[in-house]
Amino acid sequence: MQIRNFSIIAHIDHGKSTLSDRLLMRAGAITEREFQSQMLDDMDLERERGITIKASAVTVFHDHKMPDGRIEKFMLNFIDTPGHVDFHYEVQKALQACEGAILVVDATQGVQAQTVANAYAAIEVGLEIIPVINKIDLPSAQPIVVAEEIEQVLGFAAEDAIEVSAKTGKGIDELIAKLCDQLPAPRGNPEAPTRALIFDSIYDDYRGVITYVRVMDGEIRKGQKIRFMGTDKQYQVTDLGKLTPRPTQVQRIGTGEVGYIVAAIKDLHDVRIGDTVTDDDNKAAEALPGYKPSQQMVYCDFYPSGKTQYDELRDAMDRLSLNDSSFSFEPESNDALGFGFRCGFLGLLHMEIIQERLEREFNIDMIQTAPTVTYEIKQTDGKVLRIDSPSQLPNPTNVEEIREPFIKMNLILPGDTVGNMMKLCEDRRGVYQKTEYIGSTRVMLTYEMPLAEVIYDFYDRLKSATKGYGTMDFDFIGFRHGELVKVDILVNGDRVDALSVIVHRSTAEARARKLLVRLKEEIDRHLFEIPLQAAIGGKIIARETIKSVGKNVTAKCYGGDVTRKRKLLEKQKEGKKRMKRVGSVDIPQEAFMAILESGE
Amino acid sequence: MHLPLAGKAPLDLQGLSREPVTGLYVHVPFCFHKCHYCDFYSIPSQTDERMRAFVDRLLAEAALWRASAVELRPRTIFFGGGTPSLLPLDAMRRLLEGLQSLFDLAQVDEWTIEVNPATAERDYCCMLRECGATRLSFGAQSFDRAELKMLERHHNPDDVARSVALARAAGFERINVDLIFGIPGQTMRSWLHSLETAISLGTPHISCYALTYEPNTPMAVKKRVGTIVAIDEAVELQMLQETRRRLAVKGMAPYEVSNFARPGEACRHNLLYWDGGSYLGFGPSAASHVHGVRWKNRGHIGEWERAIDDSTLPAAEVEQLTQPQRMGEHAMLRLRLTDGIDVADFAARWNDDPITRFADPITRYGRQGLLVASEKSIRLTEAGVAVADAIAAEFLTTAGR
Repeated sequence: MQIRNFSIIAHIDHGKSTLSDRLLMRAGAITEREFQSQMLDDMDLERERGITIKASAVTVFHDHKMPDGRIEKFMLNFIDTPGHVDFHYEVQKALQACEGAILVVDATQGVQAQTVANAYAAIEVGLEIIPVINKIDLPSAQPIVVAEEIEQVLGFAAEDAIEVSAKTGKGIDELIAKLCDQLPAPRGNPEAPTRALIFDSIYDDYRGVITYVRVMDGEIRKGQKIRFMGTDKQYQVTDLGKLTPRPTQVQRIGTGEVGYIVAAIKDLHDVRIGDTVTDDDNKAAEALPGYKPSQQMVYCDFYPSGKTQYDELRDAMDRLSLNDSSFSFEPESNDALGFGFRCGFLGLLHMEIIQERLEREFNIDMIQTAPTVTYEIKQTDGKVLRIDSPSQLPNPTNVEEIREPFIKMNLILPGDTVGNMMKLCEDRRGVYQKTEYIGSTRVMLTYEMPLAEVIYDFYDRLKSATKGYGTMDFDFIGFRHGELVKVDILVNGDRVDALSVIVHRSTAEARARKLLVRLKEEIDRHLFEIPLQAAIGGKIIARETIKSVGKNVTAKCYGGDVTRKRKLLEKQKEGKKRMKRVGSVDIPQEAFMAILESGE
Repeated sequence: MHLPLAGKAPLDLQGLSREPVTGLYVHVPFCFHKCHYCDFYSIPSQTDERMRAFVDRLLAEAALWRASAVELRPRTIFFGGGTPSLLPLDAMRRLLEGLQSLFDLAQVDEWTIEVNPATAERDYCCMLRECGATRLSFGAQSFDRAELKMLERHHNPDDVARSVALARAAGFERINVDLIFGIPGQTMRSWLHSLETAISLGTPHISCYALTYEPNTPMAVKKRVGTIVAIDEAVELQMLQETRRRLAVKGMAPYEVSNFARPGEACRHNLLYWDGGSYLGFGPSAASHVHGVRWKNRGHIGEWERAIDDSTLPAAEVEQLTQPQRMGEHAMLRLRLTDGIDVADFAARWNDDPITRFADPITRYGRQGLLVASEKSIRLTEAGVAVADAIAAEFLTTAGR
């Protein structure tokens, strides 16, 4: 039996999930009704956002008519990839488990930023790529134009692109035939010591961690003692299986195949994507290349609010981290917001997903502080440390250099919006790299840019600068020196740590002024005048004043209805519950979020 | 005995203190026309029959209490509304005499009736005096025609002087005039004109209330939709301060945020409210307080009538106050008074030293010059009066901690 391992890669909403399901249906693995429900994405949230967070692998069997007319059985393993830039590393590992990839491009939208990013990622790991133009059933489909774009930007011959409609099923047979004919068979040595690449894992309440692997050499058997080479943990395989797409037990997973391992693993953190599984009794000499722990680039704090208690939030995050090992949290306490957690994420979207899952799946009420990036600090004593919050910045006299994370960003946008976009990028300290034309009307811009400039409202700005047509994708490229300063905020003379921000020197004043204006809007007038100041070190760079309340007295006492009076006053105080008193000033929680919005 | 109670409110009569209740409030919910700023419960345009039936039921409510273990021996009585003087003369007489016969009123040393200056008549005033009332309160509100129109008050500026004269002729010395400032379109000049006019009437008591936009009143709606514009906060504050200064100079020092009186002429019934005293309220929506238990009568006249007809108490919204709540209320109410919180009295009542308990707000607001605390009292300064609610709210929560 022949084996083909492949992924489907696409820009968001270009129809990856529908195409996956159509392929499964054509191969007889699912019914028409199941097709409707996009079964590969099993979380509500993913469906709503049209993105896939967790990869999974499905095995189907297909009878293929070979060029010589013989019918041969093919095992088709398709490995789903996460759909967003935040999960770049996971995408890469999923791709490494394949020999080929289907690159899906929407016939109405053409090549987009993540089309390019995903195609490059697949090329980088040496995959055979089959370009597919999807949604050709739509009236506004322009398959010929899109095929030309694919050729121009990605270098695949326009005539090789297959036109399909995942919705109607058109072109699917041709695609399956091409998968069998064109993709290389997996290589690997069945006789060598076992090496299997972990490309995904999920936590199951009953069975513990379920690990998805692609066997590169040797095999994995039920009952086998296995070892994870990166984490150096040993387990015994209790259960082996494949998703067809329903879980189906097997006795062994051979070279070139994919499947899942159950081994009574209690902690998801023992199972790292990219790690190598080997036979504990016959260890491989060397692990598969390229393993690195996932790197958290964006941090923010979660604080319980409303009806939610600290313990509830902690339990929910514990549960969530069982499902997502790339999300981390540490207890944190903040003068202003009390007890909560400092959380690390792969990126902004990852942060939003976690926040939404906490709120939706665990019914948690919480306050999220403005996200910040990780900074690398070189101290005068030569030590280098990473900090993820401005308050961790060492004394300026001990700091030789502050480095910030840089990204390389590809932006695809209509040609007539390039001017707007370039201005936005320059404002965000972007360093121009190149411009490429995609067809006659669209342009791909490449910039290098500080991540900190992107985590504010860059995406929204991109959308408005490009009339909604622009798309972006970026990749972390390293830490770079930045002329960065910490701006402290003083409220009524008291420095409020939670309001400090690290910003570029050139924009510090403007940022500080905007921040103070926002604070002025958020902090209620008090019975006294409140000066707001922004300072770098001891130097005040901006100031605002909140005027004192002139009058706050009700004339009447409502006769004998004292309860009414009392409730009125209690209500007046009520609004101040979610406030933190700093010195004698009540600062509402919204003010702590204001630093998020002041990034222009 | 145990009286059945309308509705779900668990008013435990047996649990009420046996100490005599010394205040009585009677709410007469009828108005000739509903003023656009007013949110007290009232029903415009009633027939004489309905008002007479109201008096029957009010006396029935009084009788329920007469039969209860609660001993009402009032020292002060207050008839408010609505417009009590809208009751037909015979009905009002029956009401006053009815109360006389049900309760021991020998100790009453103040009995106030609110009277509409537009409809005050000599016979009526004489009847009130004869039946025991000692004090009349006239809702003058303003002496400016345009401002009265804005408030939808249907009387003429001249009516007030006429009414005061009638009251005097009927034998009333203790007379109050209510004024409102901060009316849309009002200027400092027009306000001072109203104030001076009121002073010139020579009554021993004046109340000056800043216009409050109570939710769901026509004034509040008009303000929201923009047909009227509230006067500037700074101007309103200036009016308050100027009023307090001016009346003090004329020998009518403020004894509360909005109340002014010659020495000894403060409204004793209101002081009972503000000192945490016990009082019963009769009539729809009337509030009662008996030694830490507060409740309010059903507000809708129909519900109130039904309860009375069923011989049940129309009490609702019953609240048993905790000690911290009572301390908080005590502080909240006393801070509005010029004398402030009497330290010794507070300590004796609650077995809790107010200087210690309220140390935080005392220090904070003291530093800002908003209050003054001594061994004797904690009281607001003039600057503090302007922001009395904010300060009272702080005392309230501090007491609850």
